[in-house]
Amino acid sequence: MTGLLIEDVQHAYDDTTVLRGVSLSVGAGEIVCLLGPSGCGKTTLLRIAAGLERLQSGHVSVGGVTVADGTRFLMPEQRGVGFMFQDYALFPHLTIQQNIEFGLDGLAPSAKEKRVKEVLEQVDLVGYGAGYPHLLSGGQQQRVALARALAPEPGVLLLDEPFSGLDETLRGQVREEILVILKDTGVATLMVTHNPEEAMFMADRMMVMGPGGTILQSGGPSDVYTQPTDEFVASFFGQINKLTGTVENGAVESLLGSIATPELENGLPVSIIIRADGIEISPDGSAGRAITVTSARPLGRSTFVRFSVVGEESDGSELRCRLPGLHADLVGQTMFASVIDGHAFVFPKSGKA
Amino acid sequence: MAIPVATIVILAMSSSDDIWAHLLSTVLPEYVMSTIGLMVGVAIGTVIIGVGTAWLVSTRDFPARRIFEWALLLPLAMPGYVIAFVYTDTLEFAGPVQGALRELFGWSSPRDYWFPEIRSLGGAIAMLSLVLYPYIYLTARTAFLEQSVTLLEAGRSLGRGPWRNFLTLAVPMARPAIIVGLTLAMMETLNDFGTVDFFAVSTMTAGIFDVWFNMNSIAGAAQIATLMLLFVVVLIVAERWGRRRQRFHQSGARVGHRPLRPLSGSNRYLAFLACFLPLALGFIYPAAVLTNMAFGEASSDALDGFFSAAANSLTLSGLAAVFAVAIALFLGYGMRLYPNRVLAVAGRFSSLGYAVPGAVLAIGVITPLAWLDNSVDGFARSYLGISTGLILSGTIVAVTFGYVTRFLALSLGAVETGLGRITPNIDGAARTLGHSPLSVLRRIHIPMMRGSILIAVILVFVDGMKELPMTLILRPFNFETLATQVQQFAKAEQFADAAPGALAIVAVGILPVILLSRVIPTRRQ
Repeated sequence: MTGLLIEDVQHAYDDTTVLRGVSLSVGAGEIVCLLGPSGCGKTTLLRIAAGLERLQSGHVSVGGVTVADGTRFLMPEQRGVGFMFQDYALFPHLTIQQNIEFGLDGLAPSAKEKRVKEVLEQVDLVGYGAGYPHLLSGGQQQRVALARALAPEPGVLLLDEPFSGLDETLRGQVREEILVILKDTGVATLMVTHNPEEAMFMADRMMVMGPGGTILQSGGPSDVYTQPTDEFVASFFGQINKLTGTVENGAVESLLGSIATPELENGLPVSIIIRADGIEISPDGSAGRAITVTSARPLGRSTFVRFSVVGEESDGSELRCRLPGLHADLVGQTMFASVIDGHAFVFPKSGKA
Repeated sequence: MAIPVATIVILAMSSSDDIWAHLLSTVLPEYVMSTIGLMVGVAIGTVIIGVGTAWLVSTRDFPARRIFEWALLLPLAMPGYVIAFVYTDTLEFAGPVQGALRELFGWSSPRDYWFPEIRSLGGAIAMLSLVLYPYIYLTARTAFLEQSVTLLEAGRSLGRGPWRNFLTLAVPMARPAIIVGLTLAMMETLNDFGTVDFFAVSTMTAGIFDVWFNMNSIAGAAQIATLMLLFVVVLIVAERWGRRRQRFHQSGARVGHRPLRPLSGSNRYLAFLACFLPLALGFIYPAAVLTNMAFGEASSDALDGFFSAAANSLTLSGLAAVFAVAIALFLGYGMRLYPNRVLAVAGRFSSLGYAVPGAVLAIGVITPLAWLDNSVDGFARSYLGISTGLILSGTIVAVTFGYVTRFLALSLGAVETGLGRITPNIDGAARTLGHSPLSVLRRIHIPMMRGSILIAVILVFVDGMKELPMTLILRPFNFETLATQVQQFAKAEQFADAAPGALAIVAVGILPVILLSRVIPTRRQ
């Protein structure tokens, strides 16, 4: 059964259009991540789904029931949609217990108490019920926000940048915990984030939204990562090298060798996107082009390397890559670079670029 | 809110008699000249005291500076009509000062010496300056505290002395803030009736009462009121300008705390005196005189009247506070829920009430109410055969309505500040958890902004306790509040009998001063 269905939603603030015909669906028990840069209208889409923003055009249904279309508009309190806010929005004047009970008005006192106990157990915060939100750490506050949103057993849960308020070390741990809880409850979840790693980690299905307010690509996280259909999508997952070239005989010649492009017609000008993680460097000359390393900065798990290609093909420009391990001693050396299979993407040159 | 203002204009335009021409050829020029004279005088007085003391306490160190920081606000609790009779008592011919002088120099009659007449335009300027300077002190102080120290240090390093620095850098940078404070002080000056009436200075406010009660011409009063609205418009425009510029002037890099410059030798005592004088004259001395009179000399009749008047004042101010805050809550929350232009304009418009002098607003309130009463009465008489008389006019309802229109700006400001501190996501969270907007207001917003609501209640309540001109026009027959009672006793020269009521008003008036002193920043950045 479909938890959340959004069809052809358009939205504009004053003169600025932020959403142009966005459609998506989230099934029960499914986690869908909407990935996109800041300001692309992701949060607006969530607010429209929850009824916090009035639908201007399109159709929204929850659990098969239309909650907003051209004629009907169901208030947020009537939709049975849970929302977890970026800043958690816990009520500061209520205890944790009262915060969670806030969405359980219809229940008898004993049932309320039982449900609060259940969700507190679920988020591993038993014993914190009597405290106030400001006494909790960021990660704990977030789990309270999740417990509060889940307590009324909504059919759909919306998460707005759920991990952005946490520091780096906490983030990995918290998202693992939350993934387990969401999978346990089987709620249809739509999560919005600008962090590709987070989206890939959480998502059963992933959608990438461009700055123009349209969905550029959707699919399983690995598929989207390995087979981007769009230059923007390809460049959204971390650092890239962008080159240009022309298709000749089913392939395009790049600084780092020839890349096969069987589907593109001859003579087409193209952009070539090579991920920084997609370049191999070795002292062995059998594979790849000769290069000179111009700088190597250690990052911890990997080293950030800038290099330029040696020889007549070189136009003097620098390329960058990320090598596993520490290689600060490479500076000035001549090495050989090649593209790892499946890490270079070729797209017909868009009008602007 | 719009109704009273519109009424005044309509009344003034529709008058059939030639009052206007008559006014113009007789008293109006004097009204206008007195008003302008009073405003210019009070402007000079309040700016000098307000800016001077604000500069001293925010940039120099001298004895009792920390106490002056908040104590300089105290004169705000002293209504003009109260301080006026205190100084009349002190400085008139039979008062202690002139008595002592006569004793000292052996004079016996007023012909032997010259002494400034307190009951004059100059006296009114002095009185109002003493109680209104805190408006400028408050805004100027905030501006000085927010000025970057390095900017002033740059001025010094470029060879400017401290005085030139103050006049050419600090004051111009604080000018928008000073103007905001000055417009507030000017609105109060325009509003004042008690002081000018007592001193027989015929300003336009006094003129409204004169034309209405002595010449029996509501249309004439409305015409003066319309003319006053022009003054109000100028003040509002000036205030808006100041507020816009304030934001711009206060931006800029700020460098951490600097110790205040300690003053040397005699300068310390001069600075102390400069701050002590306005405080002593504007609050300590009059409060002491009032206390002395209230507990020593007031007649028992006056004390009897005091309690019924106090009960009336409490009732009226309490009602006004409750209604003003309730309306502000719904207006403020409405603007949050439906951020459309209509509500925003309604909100802005309703806050203009504070700028319109009480006497002017009262005319605008009483006329539509009288019309409503007459319509109801006419309807009842023709269909039911009974006369309902005047239901609203001259009742507590009318006074409360007047207070609410005038003080709504105060409560709306406090409520909007409170609501502004609650992120919209809190609303979203509560709504998605199944609560209607009204339930969210009751269970989330109101509990979260208890403090702001309390402030709103206190501000409206205290201003209600002090209010004089509207009450005089709108009150029921023989209905006395503390303010009207004080004014009456003072007019009858029964100063001791006026003291208990005056002291009570001052005591209540200290409440918002305490609130303010807790809000204002005390450290320089």
